[in-house]
Amino acid sequence: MANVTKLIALVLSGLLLLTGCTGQGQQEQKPSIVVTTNILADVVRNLVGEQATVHTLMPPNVDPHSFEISAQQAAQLQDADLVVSNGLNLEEGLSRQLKAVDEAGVNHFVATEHIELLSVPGANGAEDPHFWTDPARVVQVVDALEQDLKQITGISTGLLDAATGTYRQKLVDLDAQMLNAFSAIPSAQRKLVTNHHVFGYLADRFNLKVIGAVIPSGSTLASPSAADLASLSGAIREAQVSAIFVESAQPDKLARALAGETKIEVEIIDLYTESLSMAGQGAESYLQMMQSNTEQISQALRG
Amino acid sequence: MKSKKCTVVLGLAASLLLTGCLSSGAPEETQTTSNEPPAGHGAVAGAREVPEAPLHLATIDEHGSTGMFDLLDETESRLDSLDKVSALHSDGRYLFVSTGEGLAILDSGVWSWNHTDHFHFYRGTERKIGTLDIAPKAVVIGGPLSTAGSTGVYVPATGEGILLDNARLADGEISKRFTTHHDPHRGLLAPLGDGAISSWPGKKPADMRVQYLDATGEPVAGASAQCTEPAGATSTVAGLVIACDQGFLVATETPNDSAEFELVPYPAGTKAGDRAESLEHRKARPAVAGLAGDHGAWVLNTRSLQLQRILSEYKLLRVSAVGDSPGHIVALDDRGRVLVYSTTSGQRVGITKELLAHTVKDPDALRGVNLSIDAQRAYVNAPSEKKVYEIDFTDSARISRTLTPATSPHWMTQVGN
Repeated sequence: MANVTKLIALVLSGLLLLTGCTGQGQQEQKPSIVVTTNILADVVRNLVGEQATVHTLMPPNVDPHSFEISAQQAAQLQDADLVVSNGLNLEEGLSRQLKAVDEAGVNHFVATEHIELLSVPGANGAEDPHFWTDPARVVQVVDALEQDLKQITGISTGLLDAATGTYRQKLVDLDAQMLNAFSAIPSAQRKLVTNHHVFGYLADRFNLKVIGAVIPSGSTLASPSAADLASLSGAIREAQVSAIFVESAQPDKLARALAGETKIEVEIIDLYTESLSMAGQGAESYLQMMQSNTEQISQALRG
Repeated sequence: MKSKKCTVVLGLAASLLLTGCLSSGAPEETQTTSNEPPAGHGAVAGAREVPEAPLHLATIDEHGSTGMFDLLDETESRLDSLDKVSALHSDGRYLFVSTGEGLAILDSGVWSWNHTDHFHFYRGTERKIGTLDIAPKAVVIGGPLSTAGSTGVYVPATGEGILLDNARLADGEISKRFTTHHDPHRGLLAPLGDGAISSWPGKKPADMRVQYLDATGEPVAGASAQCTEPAGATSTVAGLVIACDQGFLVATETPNDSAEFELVPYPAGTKAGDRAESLEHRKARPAVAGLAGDHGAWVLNTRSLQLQRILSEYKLLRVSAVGDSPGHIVALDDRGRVLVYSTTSGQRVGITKELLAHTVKDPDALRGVNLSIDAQRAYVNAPSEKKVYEIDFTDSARISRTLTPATSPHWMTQVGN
């Protein structure tokens, strides 16, 4: 019985090797790197260039929690030369697959293991996974990632060094550009009134104050009461800002309700947060996403 | 470190390996496809994330036509028509409708995902998932998440229990994790952790208990508690709460795939007729409310295990807990008025005029009346008046909107929260 199984396995593997690896030329020899989020995938691509095939598990606009990977992606994970994830529960929907990756001994780089972490305010010391809003921390992740990429057979250290050097410089430039832009905002106005939970690291790096606010549900905007708008109008009055950075399905309706009920006139600005945009929509790369957010925030708060 | 990609992993399906190896031949593939937006509102892969809770009312008229009313922009859409509707239940996403054919399950395509310190909101496609061929009057109890965990269905007429897999429901399939069989009794099957809590009939009332079943449906030794006549149960952020004759039993999962129970007994001298028959609350919040017979309502905080009683001078027909800081309780009385109480102050803080004056006089219409609550508003349907009233409970029970859905609200529930 054991022999038969072995024989079947042998035949099967031979068949697979044939199917998988015939007639595919040079491309097939490239190492495979599987990355969970599209933000990290963009960073990895900038380092490895054409030297490896980078697979992104989570495309934009897909539910990361109910998101289940396909059989094809499961095979990619098991077969990867390196798996790159964010960590700290950001990829909660993939936790089972990532655990299987670790159990199978596949090399796994977890970005948040290489930076100084911040905790989420008011969440019992839970650590904040959204490190990418601080480019200086992204540099630390890139430095650590380079060491893991070097270990992959088929990746030239020379090419990797050069590409990493170039990208590191772009990140350093981004950091300087952001420091410049935010310094131009008078310090009393360096406040983000927001319902986003991703700007903790940005605020930490650039000395901004995040003022959390509850945004009234769209269902209340047709007929709001003072109580519906209390949290948001209180935060705006406290911060004395002319712009807020909130996500709302109907921002115009929200602005009208604020003006009508509380006599507050503010600009409502939506920022990029946890995902890159589709191609051509303003944030298709990490650098673009950060530049776009920086421009929006600094223009609005400089007043 | 593997230098070659086509390593054979034994034990996996051959077809999967074939697919994996073949596709890895294509250079730079995944990114090109993933940059395209998902078809429509998230075809099969999932759904579109939206900036805020996509709150809707789902309504069913007296002929079984089913519709959705968008509470954000007041647009409407239709769902499948159903036959001989006798009950409607929702976990905030799926509609469980008792019909002539059995328990019809519809996906409203809108839901919220509680990520502990914040929420994510999704909008997919509404569709009918299927029908469970079971006797009428099933007791349906959902869990905290619509995309994971389970939903419990129990049929008192046959004693049959079915634990449904939520991840499969999200994919549009009815899939049973396990089933339970007992002599017919008033009971329940409710999801908890990886398993479920099942009622267990006994020879005499004192033998009746609830028992934790593990993920395979096997009873876990020691994980049970006495509970006579389990009348209703609901999932909260602090555990599952069950209304028993003894009081309120709060069940929580323990790390070793088991459960523990805490009983909050009724005060001494509580009459049988004053015990809670069902428990209602704003989804996931720890505060739950149940009618105390003709004399007000019970309010339990499942986290602090504090039980309070709201005394009302009016006979209440429906009650639900908001679970906000003033401890608001919203109720409907037998004259068709909506009342708001604060458990913090113990006072009534608002009362409407007789909104459901005709409905409360018609037993058939009254059967379909539901009080749904989200973070900002309460919704009550008035089948005879063909309206849904939106109540601002933080503003003295102000009627913020009077809605007239195209699909008349003989039955109503809220989804997307």
